[in-house]
Amino acid sequence: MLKFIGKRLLMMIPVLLGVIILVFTIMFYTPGDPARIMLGAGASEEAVQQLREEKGLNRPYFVQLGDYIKNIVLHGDFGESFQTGEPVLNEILERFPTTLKLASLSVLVSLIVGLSMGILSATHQYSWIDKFATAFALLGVSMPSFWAGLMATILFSSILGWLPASGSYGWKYWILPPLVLGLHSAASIMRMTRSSLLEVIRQDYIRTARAKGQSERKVIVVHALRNALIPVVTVVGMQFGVLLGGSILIESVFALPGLGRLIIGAIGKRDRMVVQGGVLFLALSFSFVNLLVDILYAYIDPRIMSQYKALNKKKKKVSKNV
Amino acid sequence: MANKHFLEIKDLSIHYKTDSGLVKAVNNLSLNLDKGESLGLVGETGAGKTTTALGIMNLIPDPPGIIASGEIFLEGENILMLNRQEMRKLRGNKISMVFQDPMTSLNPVMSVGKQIAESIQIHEKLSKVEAEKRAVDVLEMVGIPGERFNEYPHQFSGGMRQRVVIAIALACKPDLLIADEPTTALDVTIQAQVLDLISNLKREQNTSMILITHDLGVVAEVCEKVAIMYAGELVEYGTLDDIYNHTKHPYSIGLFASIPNIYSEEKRLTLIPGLMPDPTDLPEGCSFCSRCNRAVEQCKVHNPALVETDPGHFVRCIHYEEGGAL
Amino acid sequence: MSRRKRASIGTSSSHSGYWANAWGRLKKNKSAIVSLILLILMILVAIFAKYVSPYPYDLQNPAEAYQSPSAQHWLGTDNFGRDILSRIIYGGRISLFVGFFSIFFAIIVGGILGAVAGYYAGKIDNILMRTMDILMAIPGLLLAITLAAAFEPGLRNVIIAIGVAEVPFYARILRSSVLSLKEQEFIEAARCIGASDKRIILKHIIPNCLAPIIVQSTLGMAGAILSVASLSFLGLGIQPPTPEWGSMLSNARQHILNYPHMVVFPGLAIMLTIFVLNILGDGLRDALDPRLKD
Repeated sequence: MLKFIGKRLLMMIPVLLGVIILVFTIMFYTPGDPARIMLGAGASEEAVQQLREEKGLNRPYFVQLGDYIKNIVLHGDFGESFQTGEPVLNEILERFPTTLKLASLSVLVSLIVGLSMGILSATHQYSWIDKFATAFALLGVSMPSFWAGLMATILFSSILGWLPASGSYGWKYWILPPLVLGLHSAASIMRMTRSSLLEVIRQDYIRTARAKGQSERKVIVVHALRNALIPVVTVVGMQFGVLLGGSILIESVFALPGLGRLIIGAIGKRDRMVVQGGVLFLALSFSFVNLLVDILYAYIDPRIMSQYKALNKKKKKVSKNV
Repeated sequence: MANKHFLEIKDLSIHYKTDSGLVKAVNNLSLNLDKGESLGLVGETGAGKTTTALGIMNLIPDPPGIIASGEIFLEGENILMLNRQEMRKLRGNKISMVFQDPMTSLNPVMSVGKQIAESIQIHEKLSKVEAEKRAVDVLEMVGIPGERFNEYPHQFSGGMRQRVVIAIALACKPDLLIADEPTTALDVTIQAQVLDLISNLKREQNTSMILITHDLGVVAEVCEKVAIMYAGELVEYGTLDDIYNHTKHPYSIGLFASIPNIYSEEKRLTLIPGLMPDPTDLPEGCSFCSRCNRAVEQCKVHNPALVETDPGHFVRCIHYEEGGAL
Repeated sequence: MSRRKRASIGTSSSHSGYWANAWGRLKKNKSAIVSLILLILMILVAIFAKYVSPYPYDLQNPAEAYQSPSAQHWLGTDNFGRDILSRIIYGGRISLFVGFFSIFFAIIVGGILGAVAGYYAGKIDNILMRTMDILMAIPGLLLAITLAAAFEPGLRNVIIAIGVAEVPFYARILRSSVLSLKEQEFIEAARCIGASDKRIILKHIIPNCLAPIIVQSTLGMAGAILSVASLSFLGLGIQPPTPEWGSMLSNARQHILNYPHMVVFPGLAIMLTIFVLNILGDGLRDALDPRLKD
């Protein structure tokens, strides 16, 4: 298994390199001259030219790209902010915990709500619970999270006055954002759990379990659920990407000092390096979650575990033959 | 009512409600079975054999299936009257079932040992460790080395998986074993092994058995009694000798004629022409009459009763009814 | 049973019977049909916005600012006294337009890339699909935000920014359809009678991938509409004063405490549109691929 993880990590490298190149290229061709931005509109043309020289901004695209990659790979250096002159990594690391907290809490919310509603509606197919959960899921999937955030603010802050509307100064500020952000994913997870479980319940091995005299609750929990989980895990992995994207909006709605707001702020100020670094960081976390999902598959399904192991063996044989 | 038999099925009818109408899968089926006896339940696909078996287990998928009428007595107790919990205590303990397709009837994400131990743990007050120890014994009883306890179904061949399924069924030494085409999905060479295993274990444990199959050869080897089903009904029922040597119902005769015989020199197998009637729209009269070479006009409107022609030998055909057209 | 058989014949060769059956199944799905009608209605309203909307979308009337819903202004007015209903109607134009064309863009680009990758296989396939992996490694909205930040703001660039993030999905569908179809006999047969690659792709492969593409694009349009609203909400999409649901919300935010009606209705419009597309997409999936239905 460790070998598989190692191999999988190696496979991530070209993809992440590609992401760096892609994001760098997009931002490189963004209109606006970084040197001019740093010095402000009033600065003289000579001063701007000198700064360009100093920062290496007038070098060709490939040289700058090579430099950027080299600095990241060798020194973990994501460059400096044009705006503040601070290392981008510092700014990112300062904001990242907030985003991570928001995303993890939202995943937690969506898992708890999505799984339990999915299980309930599959085991009570066509009942009112099922109908309610299905309706909830359809609404949840359709509701833009930032609008849900605004509506929740109106209801809980402005009308009821129970919770603060924005900021991050204590646990009360961390109730609405994850709920609102997790809602959409909860709906997707619920839908997948329901359909996957309904599919599994019809399988022969469920009948075998019932024929053993197992209680219905245990048939679901012990036999059906684990088999139904694989497509659900896939959805959770994909939803993490949606959550990361959505966190940008939710951080904006609730004024949370996370990576998303850093990126949006930097876009407004044309601070290329910060945007690049932030996007890379989010893409990197998404890739790690996908790796986690792949590993999780193996622990849920022994067939996938043997596939992974077979993969390693095959490679070994080939290398021996060579 | 005195129930002298170990298992007695009376007038069992099972229906499925579907979009295209009411499927009458099993109609007024009556059977009985004594302790240690084996019954072969024979018929073509769709005759209602598996539905009958699931009916005895009370595992008819509901919806869409319902047991419309009938009684099933096990040692004198009507098990259709039991509540869910009482029924659970019987399942896997007193009545067990071996399913047709070993490739799909084992949970792919649970080790085979645990799947056997589960059955033991449900019915016997044993700790997890003790149950697993027993499961190893059961595994070895069906001819699988105990070291393979922790392996998963995908690591076994079809024949080995069917052994696991049998192990699950026999783990609690049931009184009645229902084997639903246990060898159909297996290679021919493996079929004999698995069949031998079932009949040996059954003999050792003095288990009664209902063997569902469409293979008359298998029945002859293993069973003492035979019941032939057609379109949800029993058409002929009796001892092995009754059915094999004194075949009476035209359908049974047709079945035997369609088996290749190494002693005769016929070039072609005899077929029964036509198809089984649509179970949503069974004919008013005898359901076999459209394919029967002995059908008479009255067969279309009159569904004959099951008649005891010799002691223990029952036939459902107008030609054997009292005052029938014989 | 017979249904299943017919469907599998339908996916392996596209004759009219399959589509007629799919339509028959869709017709039976009441909520999908209601959604289809609602969607057509929305499209009509968007097209004829000029005649349907009670006021011009940019008519400012400071004397009537911040009004709650009333007989004159069904959904109230905004901070400039503009009629919210009219702005929502015109906003629907933008949303549907961007939703449709960004998916159209993704289908064309992704479809060509995927078909080429699947058809020619080997190195080309490898390079193209690894590129798709790179695109998919960035969460969709994040990629759209990055692209939108790089481009000059405007309708066309928003369409491209959102479309690019959708490209890999269609590339994958086309590729896998092509791969599975490539080996089938009727393609062999076409090749044997000397049909060109281009002809095989256009006449045989594309019609056969239509079903998954229709389903994916309906659901994709819902996603795209959500993305436009999100980008505009962040100030990266359609710029004011052009009426767009997301930017209306962004503007309304500043008045959320005193005038919540400004926030409620544009959001409801987004939700209804996405809701309708989702139900229609689900219905289409059930109708086009009956094997997936429970």
